[in-house]
Amino acid sequence: MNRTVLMSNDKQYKLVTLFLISLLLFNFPFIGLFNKSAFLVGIPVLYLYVFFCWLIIIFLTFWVQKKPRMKR
Amino acid sequence: MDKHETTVLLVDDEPNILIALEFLIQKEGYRVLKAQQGAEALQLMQLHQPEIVVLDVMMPEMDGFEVARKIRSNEAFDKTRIIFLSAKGTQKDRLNGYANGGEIYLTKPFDNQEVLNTINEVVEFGLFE
Amino acid sequence: MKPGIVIFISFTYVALLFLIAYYAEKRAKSNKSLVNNSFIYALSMGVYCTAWTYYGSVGRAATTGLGFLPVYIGPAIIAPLWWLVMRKIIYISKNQRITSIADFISSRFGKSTWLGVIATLVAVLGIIPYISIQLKAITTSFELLTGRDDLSVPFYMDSALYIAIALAIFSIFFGTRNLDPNERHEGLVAAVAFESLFKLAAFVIVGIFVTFGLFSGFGDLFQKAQEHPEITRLFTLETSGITSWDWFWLSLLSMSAIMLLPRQFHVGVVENTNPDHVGTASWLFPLYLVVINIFVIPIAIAGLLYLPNMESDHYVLSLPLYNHQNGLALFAALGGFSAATSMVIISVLALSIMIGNNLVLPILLRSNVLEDTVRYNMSGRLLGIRRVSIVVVLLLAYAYFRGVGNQYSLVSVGLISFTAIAQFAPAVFGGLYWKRATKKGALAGLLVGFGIWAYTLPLPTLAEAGLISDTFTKSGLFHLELLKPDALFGLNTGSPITQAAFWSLLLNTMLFVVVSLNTSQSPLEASQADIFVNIYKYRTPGAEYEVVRRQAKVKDIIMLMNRFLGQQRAHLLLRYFEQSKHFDLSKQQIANADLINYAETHLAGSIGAASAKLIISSIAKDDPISLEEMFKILEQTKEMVEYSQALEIKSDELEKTTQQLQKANEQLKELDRLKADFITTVTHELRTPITSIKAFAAILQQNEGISETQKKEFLQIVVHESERITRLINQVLDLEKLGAQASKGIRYPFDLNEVCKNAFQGLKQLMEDRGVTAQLNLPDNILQVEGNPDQITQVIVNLLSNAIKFSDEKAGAVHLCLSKEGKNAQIEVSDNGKGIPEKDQQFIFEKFTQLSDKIMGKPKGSGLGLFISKAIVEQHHGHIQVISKAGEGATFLVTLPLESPQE
Repeated sequence: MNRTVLMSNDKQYKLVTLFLISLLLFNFPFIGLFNKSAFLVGIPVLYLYVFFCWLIIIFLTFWVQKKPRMKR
Repeated sequence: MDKHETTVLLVDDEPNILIALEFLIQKEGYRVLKAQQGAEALQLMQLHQPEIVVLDVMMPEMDGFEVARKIRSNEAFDKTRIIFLSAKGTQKDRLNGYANGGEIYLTKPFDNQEVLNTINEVVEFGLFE
Repeated sequence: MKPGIVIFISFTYVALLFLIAYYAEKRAKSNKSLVNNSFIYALSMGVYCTAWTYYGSVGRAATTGLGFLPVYIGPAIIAPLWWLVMRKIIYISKNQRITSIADFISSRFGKSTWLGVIATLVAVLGIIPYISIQLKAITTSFELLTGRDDLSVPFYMDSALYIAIALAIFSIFFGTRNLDPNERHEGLVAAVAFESLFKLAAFVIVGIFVTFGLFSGFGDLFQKAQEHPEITRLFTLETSGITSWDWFWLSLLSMSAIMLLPRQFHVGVVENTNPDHVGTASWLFPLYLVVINIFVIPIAIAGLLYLPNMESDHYVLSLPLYNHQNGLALFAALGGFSAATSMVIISVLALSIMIGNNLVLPILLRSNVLEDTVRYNMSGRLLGIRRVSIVVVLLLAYAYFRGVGNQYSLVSVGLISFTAIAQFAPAVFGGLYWKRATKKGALAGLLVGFGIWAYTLPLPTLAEAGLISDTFTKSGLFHLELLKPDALFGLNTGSPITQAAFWSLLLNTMLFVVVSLNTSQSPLEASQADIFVNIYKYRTPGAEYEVVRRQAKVKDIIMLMNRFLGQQRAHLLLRYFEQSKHFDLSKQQIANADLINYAETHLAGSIGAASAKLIISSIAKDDPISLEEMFKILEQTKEMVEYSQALEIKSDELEKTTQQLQKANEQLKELDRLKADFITTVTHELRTPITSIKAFAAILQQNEGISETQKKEFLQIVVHESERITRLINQVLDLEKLGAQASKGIRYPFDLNEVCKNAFQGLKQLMEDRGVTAQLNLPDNILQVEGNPDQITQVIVNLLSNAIKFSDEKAGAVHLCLSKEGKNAQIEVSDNGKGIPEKDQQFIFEKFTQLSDKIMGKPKGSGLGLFISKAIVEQHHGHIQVISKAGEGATFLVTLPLESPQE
């Protein structure tokens, strides 16, 4: 098997894992952990949690999708 | 019947055997005719009407059995007696010889005296009746 | 604000869209595509954010806090999977020239017309309310800006109607100008991408104005909000009125919506220019969603704080207006306008393609209108159908808005559409990965899911609007409590959307699976299933299993392509086909499967897979072989071939064995016979000389008075006959020796001429005795062979004596001739005797053979001479054969390889 196939398989696993992680993070019970009337830097923690997770997932997706740097 | 009035036809493809038989039978007092082939033998039959035919079986072109059948098919030769003298000596060969019209079947190698005795008996005991 | 200004600005905006779209199309024509770009692609997916997002999110946030968010969380959750799922759908769609989500489903399940019709109906009925809320949003924004109430004026003065008409014109202009087999509308995509940017900018600017203009940042805003308990409750989920169950189902619905909504499918799949753009979109689009959602809550909180008595769906506009920021308000309204228009344009286009390709055309074709449709220019007609569809859909949406939609919030109507579209999920995703899924399964699931959806969601809204009787909502259908739409089967989750989604998707999926498992696929279904599930196998377009044997006349195919694709396009496509296949269509009468498939694929691009299949089948002698039949034929053929091969082998073997056995038997019999003959022969051969010897010996013994000459003669005979016996015995011994000596013989080159001459001389006496004339011919050159000269002499003597023996009795003639034949020496021994009958020729070289007495006369040898001769010749790498005809003498030919002189 050549390297690209291995890499693309690798990518598939990463993306599926990312999907499963976000499915967990954005649903109960995880989301329930932050479902309380508390504030962090003046902002409700639930909002912070959701938007933070969201950005993390986006960043990780970007990281996985980012074209691998060509190696000499 | 007088031996000297009796003609014996010898038929064999082996000349040496003919020589031996001729010597023996002539010496006994018979008139002797020789033939090396069946056709020749039948010709001699027509010409001399021999009383006795000594017939070899295994001969080129026409074997002894056929010669015998041809003789038997001619009423003129009813009184002719056929003595087979063959190297083939099984029971089947003998029966075959009788079936084809032979009266006596002798085998080779023959005993000189036996051949002479047989011919003599045929002549003496009037087998010609 | 004066309505004129608002209308003028709105139309200026639409004109700007025209310009962008026109420019993009011009660029596309000169092959400098503007939209072939992953950023534009991701932006065009922003068509997901409609007026619902723009106005409705704020409204929903004002009542349920984060309850607005699952609709965007769903896409965010599934986005990482796009690279796998979306790309696969894109590959399939490009391969199969799929033009819409309904076409996709129809195509996956054997290009089923019915499935296409149902899916189209689901999509149209599901999306019309959704379009209606866009019209509503536009109308409302007009009302807010101009301060007049459009709903109270007659419909012909209603601005929403004219907006709808303007959008219809725009869609018709850029969506149905010509029939593109790939259904690509670069102008529209460019306009939509622009609108995505525009609405994002407008919303963010309003958000910034609110957060940093009305408040001094997020902290200040949330702090002010905390003073109000009815606002604080929005900061957590349960207190804001959204349960974890709702949350889950809403995000699930959105996951399917982001991919299956007709407009999402259109921009994401049909308009996709490069499947790899999905990679960028899978992070860029969620990022877009984050940005557009950041200010939803601040605007909602601000609205609740400043305008607690105003409609929360209007906060985006009313907040700037309230603060006398008319310019900003107009800009915000344009943002909302852009959100609504992009959705409407793409949705009506997607729906019109579906209606044309999967609903109207199949019906036209089924009702045998084909005869006269073929007479017309079909491609123009198709566009006509689409244009009418666009107008009809927009009018229906307008009617729904006037009749029903006005009473509901943007989000609740939007979610009704989401639930309808989610009914596609089992068929699409199941069909994508589960090969066993059948048409009947998809049909059953879709029908039941759609039925439950219709019964639990839109029907009650119609009832509430007073359009139909509301008894079934109050006490259930047939007065059965279990059938109450808002508590179906006794389940009441509080939210009608959640429970409708639960029941419809549950039963849809169950039926899809169960029916699929219990039904079988037609051959076409099976081949389509394989293409969809294993698309990576079929990456080159048209590499489809040939399951249907079809035949059509080339001229019919050309006619169809002319009708449906237009003369020019058809001509180009056919030229391309001829070139790629090295074909001259003008020389062909009957179209092969390649051409038919090619035509069908391209027709599918214009009119959908199911219609294309129908049209093709109208001219092609469809000769479908059922899969079972095909397998059976294959199996049978295979079996037959194997069986007959096996049989052939068997019978060959048998025959061979039989032949071998027969041969062996014959050989055995022959051997037996030969042995018997041999014994008889040997016995005779022995008896004959013995007879003589015995007779003469007895004569000599018993006849003393015998003359000396006679005695001598007799003794000579005795000696001669004894020698004969000796010779015979020697020959029998030779036979044994030959076998043993086979390879041992001394070999050296010798003069064959000499050997022939000696052998001839040796027999001269005999020939003279027999009166046989003899002739010897030797070549001038000396012929040398390698071997044992004594053995060769034996052979020649044997052959010569045979010749003498069998030569003509009276005028015997024997001829010995040695000659050179190529690289061989040839010894020819002939006689003029009776010859050897053909049937006997093959036997004469065998052991113990003697020719039968009757023909050849009494055998004159042991029956071993020729056998021994043959063995010797073969030991010398030579060959012996006989040429003879009965009555014409016999010639024995011996060839021996000449000794090649050493160099």
